[in-house]
Amino acid sequence: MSKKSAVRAPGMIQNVFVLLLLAVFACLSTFLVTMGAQLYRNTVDSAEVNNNTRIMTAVVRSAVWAEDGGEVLVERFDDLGLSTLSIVNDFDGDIYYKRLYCKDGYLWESFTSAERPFTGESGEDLCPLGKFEPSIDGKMLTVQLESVDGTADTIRMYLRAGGAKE
Amino acid sequence: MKSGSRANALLVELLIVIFFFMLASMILVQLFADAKIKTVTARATNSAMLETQNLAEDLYAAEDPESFLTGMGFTGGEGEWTLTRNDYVLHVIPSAEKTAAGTLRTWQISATRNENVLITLPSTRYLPEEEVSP
Repeated sequence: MSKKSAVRAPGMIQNVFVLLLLAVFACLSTFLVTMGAQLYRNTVDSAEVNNNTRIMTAVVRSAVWAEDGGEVLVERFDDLGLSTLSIVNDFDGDIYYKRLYCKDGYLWESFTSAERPFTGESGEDLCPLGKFEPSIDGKMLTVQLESVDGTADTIRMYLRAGGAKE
Repeated sequence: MKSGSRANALLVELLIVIFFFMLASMILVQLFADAKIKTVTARATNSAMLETQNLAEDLYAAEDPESFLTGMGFTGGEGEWTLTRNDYVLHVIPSAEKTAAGTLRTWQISATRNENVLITLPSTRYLPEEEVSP
């Protein structure tokens, strides 16, 4: 080994060490950013699922509780391909239907007179929803819900003031 | 000699940068861990809320609440019924207040996670001794 190369060796080792430190720094920062991004995505996704679940269940519960004095029934409109949770109310002799149903990926609510035919277009969309399947057993109303991301939930409500149509 | 001292300065600078980066990383990782815990707790609270609401309705409607709770998988007895789920534990505490005309039956339903109460919901029903004519 010549004198010149012996002098250069410690400098080379130092350079390699610096490069190694830089590589570790780069790897750690990439790992941290990736982990943070992943966590942020999970948090946002989870918050969205929670919000959707809360909104769709709250809408159904509050709609039924608000009109519980009326007659609650499940209607099936085969020509429209819709299954509705309907609450019938009598206002001074005029019959009105409040209907909750799922259409085009949304939960819809309509409030129409019994004299007007139900078309599904007369309501307004409330929140995104994948599936809405109401059923009534005695006075117990059960609604199977599925959000757009596929999360399934069940609502059970005992109809107090009004009641289900037997 | 000059290039050696420059390399040393670079090394020291790099070490200082990495030191501060590590400090920042430590804080961030702690923050991420907290965020993860909060997300899991929020999910558990959401599920617990839906289940307690359904349970409150079921208990309101049940003719024989004890049999219903046993059928649901609750364990316990007179004082408290419990059911362990993946993310939380459900507790049902029954109480009854007898009056001359009937009984006020109350079920205190709560969900806990790591000893912390997530949600508490009462389910109350008045059971008259005799059928009240409308």
